[in-house]
Amino acid sequence: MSNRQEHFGDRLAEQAGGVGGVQTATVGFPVGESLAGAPDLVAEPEARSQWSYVRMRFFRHKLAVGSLVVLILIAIVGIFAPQIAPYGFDELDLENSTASPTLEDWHLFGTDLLGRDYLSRVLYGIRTSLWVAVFVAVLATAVGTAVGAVAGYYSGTVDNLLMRLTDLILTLPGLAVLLTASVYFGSGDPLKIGIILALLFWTAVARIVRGLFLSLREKEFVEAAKAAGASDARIILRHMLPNCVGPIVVFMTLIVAAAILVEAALSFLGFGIQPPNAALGKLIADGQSGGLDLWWLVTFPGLVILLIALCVNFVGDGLRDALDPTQRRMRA
Amino acid sequence: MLSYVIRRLLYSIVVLFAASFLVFTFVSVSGDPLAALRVTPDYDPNTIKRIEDAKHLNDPIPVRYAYWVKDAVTDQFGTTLLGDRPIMPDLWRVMKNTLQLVFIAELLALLVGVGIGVLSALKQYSFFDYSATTFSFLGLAMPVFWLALMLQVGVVLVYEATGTRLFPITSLSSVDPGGGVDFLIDRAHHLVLPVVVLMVASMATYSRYMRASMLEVVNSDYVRTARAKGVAERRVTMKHAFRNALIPLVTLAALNFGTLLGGVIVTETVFSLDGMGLYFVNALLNNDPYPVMAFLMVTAVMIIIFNLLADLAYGLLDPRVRYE
Repeated sequence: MSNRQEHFGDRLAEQAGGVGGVQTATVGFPVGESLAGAPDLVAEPEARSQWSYVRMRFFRHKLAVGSLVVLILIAIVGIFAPQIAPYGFDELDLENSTASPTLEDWHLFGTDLLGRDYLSRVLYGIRTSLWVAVFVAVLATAVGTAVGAVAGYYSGTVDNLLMRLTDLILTLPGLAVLLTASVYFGSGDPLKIGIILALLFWTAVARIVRGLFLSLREKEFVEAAKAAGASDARIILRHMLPNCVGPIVVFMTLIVAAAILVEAALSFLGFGIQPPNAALGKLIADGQSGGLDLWWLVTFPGLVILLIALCVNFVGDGLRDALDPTQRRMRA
Repeated sequence: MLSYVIRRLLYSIVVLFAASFLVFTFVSVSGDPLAALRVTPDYDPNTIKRIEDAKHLNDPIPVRYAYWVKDAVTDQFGTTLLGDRPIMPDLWRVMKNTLQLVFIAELLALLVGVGIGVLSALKQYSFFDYSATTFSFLGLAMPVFWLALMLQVGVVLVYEATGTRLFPITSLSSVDPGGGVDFLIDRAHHLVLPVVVLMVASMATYSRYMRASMLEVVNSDYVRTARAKGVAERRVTMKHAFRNALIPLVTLAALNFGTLLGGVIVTETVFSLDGMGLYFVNALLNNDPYPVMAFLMVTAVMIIIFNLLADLAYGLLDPRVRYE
């Protein structure tokens, strides 16, 4: 009997949580529209999940959708760099050195002092840099969410430790710490550089998730779940976390953009990813060493970084509008 | 309020010590700073022995840390690894140059950023608003070092085409800068490009933030009340809205200081300016942990001071804030 009651209460709590979620999701959704076309008013309106609303809102955001398409194209080009690139990453062609951008022989981005084709080098660079940025975002978000959830839910020692650690990290200049860490522990390896970057970024995620959990903890559906006897793990994973997905996803995209810029700066200064691994920042540094009148060696890798960061930011913006309609900024 | 400041300062000192221990262990566990020296064929073993003794390299880490703190406090961070150069005189020199650059850039970024933000908010959804938004998105997505390089490329290409050098692209002064006004003009000329590079990201942040803050205030009740009372529109905007919208920017500007230091490292390296950033990068390249740690601690102190000032300024500007 008690078992059944617990189960029932739990489901009730889940429904309460679900209702809370849908309520926020439907703000701003024109209800009249969905009913206008219905032939029979008594018929139940088509049930849509919260995610289908999110998808709808996201696809209305043209800039974000366009950016997503561009990003996917860039990612595909990067992933298939070995198949697509017209030349090898380190393929020398001394007779064709310092060619400015030309359609001839596919040197669209020109060649450097050793005749290496910069289009091919950039493609390989995208492969590494994008991989590192995504890796950083996933790792930092996973660790940050776990720590932030525990800190926000129990708000005891973990919370105290987290906040003190955040104070500590905010005291030191970020890029300088990353540079020092990469010199001593990075050894030019993309995986290690990624881990170092994630070590810096996770605290920001943890702070945000902690804040969300602190406010969610006081909500009725959490109380209901608790009263029904749901375990802490179940409350955190089933009831609270799904309500934080929006902000977490948005923040994750922001980390991708930040990570790609920071990794480029590290690699440019010579402390980040190093040959034989390609990285866009390193390509710019190499290009610069050939003299600035070979402008294409500096310009194109940088343009690609700019394009990726810009598109990621736009996608993040679209996601924020889609996931959090109460905070939607008005557009003309 | 005094007790608040004292409590904050005490807490800052604790944080600073924690940070220093973290920085020290993290730099010292990462290997032997003399490794490169040991494999140099013509290096005197006595020199290595002397450095090991002077820097206590063979002691356990907590002991080394204690020696380092003693050096930092009583002897201004002591000397470089080889012991041939005291750190602080160099650091003071580069700090002066960097602060000059940072303050000019920060001041201009605030002025322009706030101006753009206010105009964007007042003329929401206008052509100006959209262009400002586009530029700030670009500014935030642009790698700082790349912008610096592109400006340099521009100067080089113009020079090759026309023979005129618009701006110097390296160092802080000409070889013979002259004195007095000539020196100032020469310095200003050298600082133009670095300041622009350093400004862009901050300016983008400030204008976005100011726009949001101003929009929020403009739609608030007390501004509507002021209008309803018949206060002139100009006075409503400037006195009621603008001044209140400015308050959150104080915190943002102080928190931005740490980010700005990152920009300084990159900008000074690209333009080879004799500032803290280049000093730090060179120390890293030389594999000398002592200037690296000194740099990290000095910047940490600067960041703590800025955050404290921002908190206090916030209280002065917004009377609702109470220090507990």
